Amino acid sequence: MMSGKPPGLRMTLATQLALRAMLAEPTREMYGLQICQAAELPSGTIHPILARLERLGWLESHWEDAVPQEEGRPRRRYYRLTEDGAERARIALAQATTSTAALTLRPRTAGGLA
Amino acid sequence: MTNTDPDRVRDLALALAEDLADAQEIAREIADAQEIAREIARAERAAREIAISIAREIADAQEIARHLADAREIAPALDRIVTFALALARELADARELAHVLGRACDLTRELDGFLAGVGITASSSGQLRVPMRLAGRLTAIAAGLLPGAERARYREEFGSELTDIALAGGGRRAQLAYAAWTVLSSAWQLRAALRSPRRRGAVQ
Repeated sequence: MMSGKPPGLRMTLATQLALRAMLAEPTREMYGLQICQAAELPSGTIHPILARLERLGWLESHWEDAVPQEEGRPRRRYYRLTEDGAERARIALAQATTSTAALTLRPRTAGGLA
Repeated sequence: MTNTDPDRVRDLALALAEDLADAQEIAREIADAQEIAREIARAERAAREIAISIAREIADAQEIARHLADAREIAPALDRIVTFALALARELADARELAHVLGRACDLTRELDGFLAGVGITASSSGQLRVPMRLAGRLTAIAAGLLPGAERARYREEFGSELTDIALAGGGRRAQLAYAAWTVLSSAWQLRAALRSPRRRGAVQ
């Protein structure tokens, strides 16, 4: 069975938000600001998360083909979940959700559910 | 002796002369023997000195052998020390580079403080900040400068691209500065740590 969270990846709330935003359309390519907006994260905070996921092979990235002079702006760096990364992200998010639920629904020793 | 026989006297004289010659011969042989004994004694002293010298040489050789054995034992440790020293030297080179970049960041901070003071706005003011975009661009360049050398160019371009996107989307100088500040102050060190973590085998380069 495919395991979820690999060693070295902390499933912080920001990481979960970024993964959920990308999993909404797993094949869609997005640049950093778009991911920030979709995940509702402050701009500029997404890059450490994207770098970790990319080094784990969950994401891949590339420069857009557009010519900066024609577009009137610098080229963008686009990110996309890999097939394997999307599957691992779903499992990791499910595990994160389960562990959170277990924490909040842990039965008390003296009587009933919390 | 009253009645001396000349023949007998001559015989006695001859016998005495022979005895004297024998005695002289014996004396020469004794002298020769004494000389030989002295030679032997000299040779013995020389042999003893040579033996002492050889013993010293052997002791020196044993000492050298012990030192070589010690050196062989500590050689792996020395290898590790050299490896550690090389790694430390690399870290120090990184730290020096970071110190240089941080120095530039401090200069920019002073420049920003001066600018804000000049327009009568403090950094904590909630009003519209009139900060030139060039300053935000320089802050993002500093953020890129904090990253490992191989990644700087990519992130300098990526940060610049996002800054331009913010500007094109109508983001004012405040929004640009907020982006640059978040990039520099909040995430550059985390990004640096992420980029220094090992790349998983199979991950796209």
